[in-house]
Amino acid sequence: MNTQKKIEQSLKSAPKPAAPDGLLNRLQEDVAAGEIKKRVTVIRRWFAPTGERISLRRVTAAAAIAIAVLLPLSYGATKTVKRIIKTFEAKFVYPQDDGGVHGYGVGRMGGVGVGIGSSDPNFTEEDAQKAEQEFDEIDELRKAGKYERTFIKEVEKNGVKIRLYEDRFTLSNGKVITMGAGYGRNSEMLGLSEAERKELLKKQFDEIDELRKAGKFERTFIKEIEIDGVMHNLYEDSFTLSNGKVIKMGAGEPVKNEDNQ
Amino acid sequence: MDNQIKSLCRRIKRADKDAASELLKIYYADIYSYIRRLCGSRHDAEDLTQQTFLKAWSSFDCFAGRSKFSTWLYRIAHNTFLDWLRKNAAGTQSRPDQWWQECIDQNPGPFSNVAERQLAQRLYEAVDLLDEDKRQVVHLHYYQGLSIRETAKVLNVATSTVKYRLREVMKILKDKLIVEEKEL
Repeated sequence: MNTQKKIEQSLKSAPKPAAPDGLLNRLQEDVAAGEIKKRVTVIRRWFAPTGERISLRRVTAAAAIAIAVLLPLSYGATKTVKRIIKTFEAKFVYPQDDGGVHGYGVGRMGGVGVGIGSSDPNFTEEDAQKAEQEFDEIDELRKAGKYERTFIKEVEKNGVKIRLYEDRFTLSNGKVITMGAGYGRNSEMLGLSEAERKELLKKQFDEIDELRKAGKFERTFIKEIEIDGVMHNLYEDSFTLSNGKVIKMGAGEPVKNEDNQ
Repeated sequence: MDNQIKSLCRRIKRADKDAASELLKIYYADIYSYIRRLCGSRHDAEDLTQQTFLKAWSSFDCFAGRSKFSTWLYRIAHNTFLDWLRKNAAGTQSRPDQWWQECIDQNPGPFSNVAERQLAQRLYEAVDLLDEDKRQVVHLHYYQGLSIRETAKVLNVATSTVKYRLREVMKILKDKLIVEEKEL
């Protein structure tokens, strides 16, 4: 038998620690004493605190979610949709089917949406508030330039070169938080003033809007994800502009099946 | 078995505590052994197993059934262990391995001879010295018997990453064994 097989066999047949007496009883007592959360539909979640009445704030927040889902996708960052969300005041739980990341979206008007995630399924709103305070402090430190920046690498996404950095922030409580940051600029934007760049972007978005209305784009299904208990289909829409440039944007819509009723 | 688990999960979604108790009986020993091997303390392992199941029950509404229940549960256990590790990093430098000795003393099989037993122990010690990412793939794939795909889901990485880590682990363990055999 070769060494690798010998190692694999030995690892597979290693002894298993037996569960101690009394552990099962202890766990069963937890089941008896505790409460198992029932699945709550998204509609009930939205209505719940307002007594079945739709509040303007919630509707506005829903619209903001749509923007938040689309924005990160539009920059090709499909993965960030799980973590980034932008709302006004409301906070949203982002449970993942695999028991992994639970997040709270904390929004800021006119700013960048902040996603707060935790690997702890018991992550509470209180935890989210604490994390939000830390984000506020990070914002302050960032504005004051009080952080260490390390260049990681340069990547190219949809023809845009993006420089990725790692920023280290030391909070007042001594906690050190490391965050990623990325800055990119399209080559055609180089040398343009801020106003010119905005104008160019606006033209592109207007053209994309026209193409979307005319149905002149290619849609590719990416995957299904669960957002606040509702399954959504995520797509990548590819638009070919009049100058030949191809822009890819993310799109999402709830899956139409009875699970989402 | 899969159908039985699915049926129990459906009942738990309706807050059926008997079903939760049944599911507990099926998985608690596996979760305990996974954590026990990792954290090296019986009491901590019991507490972490309890925390894992409490989290599972309190977030059961998040489990939509797209992955296997066992994978979801292992993922919670994995995250619970990592949280504990972060808080107790200093306390895990030297792990007492009493359970291993007790286990061997009480039940010498499946090792047919002393050499095999010693090899298993040397490997266990070597695995314990691996960095956390590599240690986790060994524990989940070899010790707990999860498939590469399940291991990847628990660790939230690509299956290619798991395969790469396993290859790296194998290189390290092989080198270690060769060095030790030369020394002997």
